[in-house]
Amino acid sequence: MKNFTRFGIYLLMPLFVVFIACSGDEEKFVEKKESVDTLPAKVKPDISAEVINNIIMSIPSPLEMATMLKDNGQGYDANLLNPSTNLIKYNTNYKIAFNIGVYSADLGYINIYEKTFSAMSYLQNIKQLGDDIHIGQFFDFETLKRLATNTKNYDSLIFISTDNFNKMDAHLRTQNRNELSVLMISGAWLEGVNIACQVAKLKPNKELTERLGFEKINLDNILVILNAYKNDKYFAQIVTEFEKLKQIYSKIEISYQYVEPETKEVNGQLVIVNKSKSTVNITEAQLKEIIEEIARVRNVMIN
Amino acid sequence: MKTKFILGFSLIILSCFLKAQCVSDNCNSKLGTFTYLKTIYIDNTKLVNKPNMVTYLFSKGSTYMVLCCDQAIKGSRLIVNVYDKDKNLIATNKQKKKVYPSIQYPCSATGIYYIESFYEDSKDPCGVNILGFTKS
Repeated sequence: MKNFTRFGIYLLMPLFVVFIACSGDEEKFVEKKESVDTLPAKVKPDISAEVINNIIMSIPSPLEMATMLKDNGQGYDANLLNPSTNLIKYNTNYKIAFNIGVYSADLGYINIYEKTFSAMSYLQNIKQLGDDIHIGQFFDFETLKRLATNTKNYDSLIFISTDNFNKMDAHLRTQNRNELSVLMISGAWLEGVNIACQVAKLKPNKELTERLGFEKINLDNILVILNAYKNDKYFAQIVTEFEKLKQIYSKIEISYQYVEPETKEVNGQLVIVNKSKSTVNITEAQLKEIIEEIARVRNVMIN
Repeated sequence: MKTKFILGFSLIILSCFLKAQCVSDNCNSKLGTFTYLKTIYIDNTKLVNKPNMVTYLFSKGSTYMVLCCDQAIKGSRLIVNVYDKDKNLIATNKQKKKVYPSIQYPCSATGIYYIESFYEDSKDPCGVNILGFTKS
């Protein structure tokens, strides 16, 4: 009997250790007790998780838009950001998830412009909101704080911020909380586009106007994943807001012409020489409508 | 008996550790002047019948880099193909017999692109793709 017990311990102990060793840094997702908007069991997305994941993956990082603004010579404007004092308004899981996205896009804009003195309050907000929905462990606040106070580390700051956002998003999806991930991505997209719209309002240029026209593709994709949860009241409200934007975009035409690409080697690197073209037809009046509607929707969502 | 058991147990732990470490942690540093966007994790268990496929919106005016971070062992290299929205092949890192560790794609047409990844031939594949961008 004694030998049998010892055998059992020998057998179970390594299995336990292996389980711990192989589980990586993933932590159990603990349901927020006071959540008032946790999806009821009967409200399930009406498209597959694979489709939702693929669309989430396809939405570009707001860093790209911020980089374009900076490279076009547009100056930094802190007034375009969601004020960090709005934090207290986000008191449900859905609002929290959406505004983690909004603040993350703001942080990206701050980082691209290397205005690290503005970064601290946004880092704190994202950390706090992340903790509220149990993904704060993927946001390395201490490292980011250290990098933000050392102005030579912009590249690391951008990399870790982006990587942390991706990890929070990935964790939500592995925990079957895709609806929160959808909100985070939607918030980041809306904020990134709003910053670009506000710049276009003051200093329009061809590249920026075209870029905002092409956002039709992202809006269509975001509406697909938001619509998947529209049986929920909060999602239904967002869909209604975004649908008004879609109506404006429906008049904008995008065309694509494929031309077979060529390849060449440059300094040992493979470079594609692409000759395909895409065009977007967007009028000044349409741009004005988009700018106004984006600002209106964003105002609803951050307040 | 006890020695054999400890040895076996150590091997399990080691294999678990090695699997997690098959790709260098600082692979993203190979992006150089490109800004990091995403890591594309490849579920190796699902690669038997179909390649890993993700989509991303590329914008004209930007150059994208798809890095292949694998074990750099001949025969188990990570192959990446990029297709446009109509599934026309735009780029591949496998040119004749040479497999390049990355692709640079100066985008001239905004749209959704498919990034397909798979391994040449390997019993124990391991790797990720890293996506970065810079202004053209």
